[in-house]
Amino acid sequence: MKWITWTEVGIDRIACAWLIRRMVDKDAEFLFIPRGTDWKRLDGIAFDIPGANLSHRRGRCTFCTILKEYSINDRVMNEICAIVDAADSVNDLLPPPEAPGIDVICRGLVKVLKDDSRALEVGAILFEALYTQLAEEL
Amino acid sequence: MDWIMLITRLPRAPTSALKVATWRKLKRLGVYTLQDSVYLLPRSARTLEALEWIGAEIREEGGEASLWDVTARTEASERDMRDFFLEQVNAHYRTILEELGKEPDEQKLRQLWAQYHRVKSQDYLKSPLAIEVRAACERIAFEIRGKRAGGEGSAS
Repeated sequence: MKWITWTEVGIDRIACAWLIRRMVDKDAEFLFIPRGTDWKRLDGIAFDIPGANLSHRRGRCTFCTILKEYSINDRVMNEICAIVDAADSVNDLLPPPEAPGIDVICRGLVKVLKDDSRALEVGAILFEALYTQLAEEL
Repeated sequence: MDWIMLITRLPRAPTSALKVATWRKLKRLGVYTLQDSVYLLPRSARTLEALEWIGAEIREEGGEASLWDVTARTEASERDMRDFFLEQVNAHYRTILEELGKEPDEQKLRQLWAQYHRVKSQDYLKSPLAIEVRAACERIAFEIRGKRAGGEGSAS
């Protein structure tokens, strides 16, 4: 399946792509479009694009929407969801301590790699490491 | 410099959740309110992404929102904007410096350090006061460590 999202991926899109490959569609192919492009005419599932079904809902991040949409019930994933939410300024009262660090690294990834696909690849390692460590510590 | 402007119209009967969420997010970003429902921020990848989502969330609830790249027409308004964003963080930095001047204990220092980072996330124009706050925090941390070591020494 093709999955469509905006270029210049940040924490939410990186985390979502990792979640999609891991839990929803292991053969997921990602397609990146510039902001403002009409994604409705493209063949595939759009995510983390304003107006798409898989997008922010009720002020929470797209990662949260995908967990709900695909009925993923996993306490470590919920914790990662809280981290992505915090970076997105929703959870500004009780941000998990990991949030600001991961956010800033994710913002740097695409700048260093200059390529969205590679940012997702490297980001996936980051989130897999986060998952492994949180699973041990939770 | 480049600025980004968000113009919003909340739905006719906005839920209080939407109003509060929007307000909190805008406040956390430290936007300049030009007038009701018109907000300005220095343009960066981060501010662009944040404002795009705030707009999307307002539209999701039936409101309207549009985002514009803008530049000031006069040097004076450019300066006013820059002054606003600098003064906004400087006021917070000065408050923190004042508190740091009152010999804060360890718990208070941790609080002020967290506060410094919150202010820093709105410090789009990189105020020189940030360096002062940081240095003051580090100096006090050094003193507290010194007292700790001294206290342990006299107790033994």
